[in-house]
Amino acid sequence: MLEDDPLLEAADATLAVRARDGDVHSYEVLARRHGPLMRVYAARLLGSDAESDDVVQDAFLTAWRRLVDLDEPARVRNWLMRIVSNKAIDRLRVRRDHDDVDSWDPPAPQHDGPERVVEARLQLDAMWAALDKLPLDQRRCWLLRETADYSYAEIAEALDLPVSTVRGKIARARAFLITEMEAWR
Amino acid sequence: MSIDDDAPLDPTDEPTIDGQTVERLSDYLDSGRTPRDPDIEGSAACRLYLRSLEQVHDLSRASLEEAARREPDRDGAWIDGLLASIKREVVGGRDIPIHHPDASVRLSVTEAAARGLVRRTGDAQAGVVLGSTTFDGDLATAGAPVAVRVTAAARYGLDLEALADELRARIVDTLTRHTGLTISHVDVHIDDVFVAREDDR
Amino acid sequence: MTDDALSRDLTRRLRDVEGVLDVFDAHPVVEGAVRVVAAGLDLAGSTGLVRVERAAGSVSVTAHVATDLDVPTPATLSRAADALREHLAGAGFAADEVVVTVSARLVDAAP
Repeated sequence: MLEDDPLLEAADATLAVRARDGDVHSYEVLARRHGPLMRVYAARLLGSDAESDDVVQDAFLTAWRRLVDLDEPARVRNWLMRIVSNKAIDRLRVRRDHDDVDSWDPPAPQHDGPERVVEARLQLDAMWAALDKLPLDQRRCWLLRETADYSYAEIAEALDLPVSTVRGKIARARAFLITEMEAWR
Repeated sequence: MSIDDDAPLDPTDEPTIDGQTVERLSDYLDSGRTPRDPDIEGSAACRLYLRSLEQVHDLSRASLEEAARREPDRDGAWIDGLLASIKREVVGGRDIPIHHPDASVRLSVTEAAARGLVRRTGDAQAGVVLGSTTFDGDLATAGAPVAVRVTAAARYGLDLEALADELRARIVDTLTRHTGLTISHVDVHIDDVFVAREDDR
Repeated sequence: MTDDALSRDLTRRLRDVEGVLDVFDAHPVVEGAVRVVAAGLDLAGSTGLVRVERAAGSVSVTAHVATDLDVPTPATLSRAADALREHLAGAGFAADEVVVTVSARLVDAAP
């Protein structure tokens, strides 16, 4: 993509309404803008990188077809996060139905030593590592709530758990993360 | 840890901060701290905990975004495949008939093509990024008046009225040239403003 | 001549029309994939993109095109229809048997 493409700086809302009108290029800009986050997020939900690419591509395909239903173009990012969450959850359901054990969870990404000088970056690395330490199901509940803004009831339905269990997992995740980040400070 | 993990938290185990349960504080934060709860806001310990909650929420999201930024650019294949699928699925919308003297010849321009024309026209004008395009009226009947409504983002500092007038004229011109539509009027709604970059046109 | 061969000829003919930038597949999506497989071809470009439908005593052709921004689209579409009719006449179809539909799906700047 050309660097001086004015759409690169266009607001999400502009890109979304253009895409809804059929502008494939605007959709491409949206996909490149939000795709990386969606991929990382999907990988964390699924517990591995393996299916995250598929899940994200599937999400974008579905989203394209549903653009006409997007009521608030400015909230297209949240809307995309919802769709990719649902796709990832569908995968988890398939695994569960087939009694697949949760995939091995990869360690936190390795970062070059000399670069890790900026304090803000260190803090983010610490959070990444902390999220990594959470049991997969706690992490899922946490991510669905904190990153995709799912309600407790929605998480319960998505993961096929009682609401009280979801509350419990989020409470434990929250307590753990707060402690981890305090310790780092 | 996994044995206890599924069990709901025993209410008596729930930690409280100055009498507020952790969950109450979490919900309070989620609701944007409104309506204002004087008991919570009046407690230093509660406010401190709210700050911790906020921090882990923000950091949690930020750590994902940071990881996304650091991702090697694997964009190539997945985006191309996606776009190829999508291009096949662009819906035409209504057909705008183009006159031809012979009854056995049917010519038309799709509504989607017409929208694309308007978008392109808007983008080509300095200081304008076109948003949405809507056609009101009967597109399928030749000669029926059609109104066009567009939204657009404009560069900060430009005379918006002059910009809208020019945009209107360009849109009428291009639609007439390519679709033969009878345009009754063009509604221009500037709903966003952007700041020029150094190398902007 | 098979319908697919006729379709390929018409597609090629269309690409030469002034103002036509590109030809899209005018067949419904699923049908398109089936046709490619049935024709034993794996290059999308070598199948016919113009839809040819025959009924008793008539042939109907439908073309989806991209037209040039710098040329008035109505004129381009008219030329495209003429080119298709000319070709069909040359292929032995009587004028009153033929129905031609040309639709511009996109108006774009020439590369």
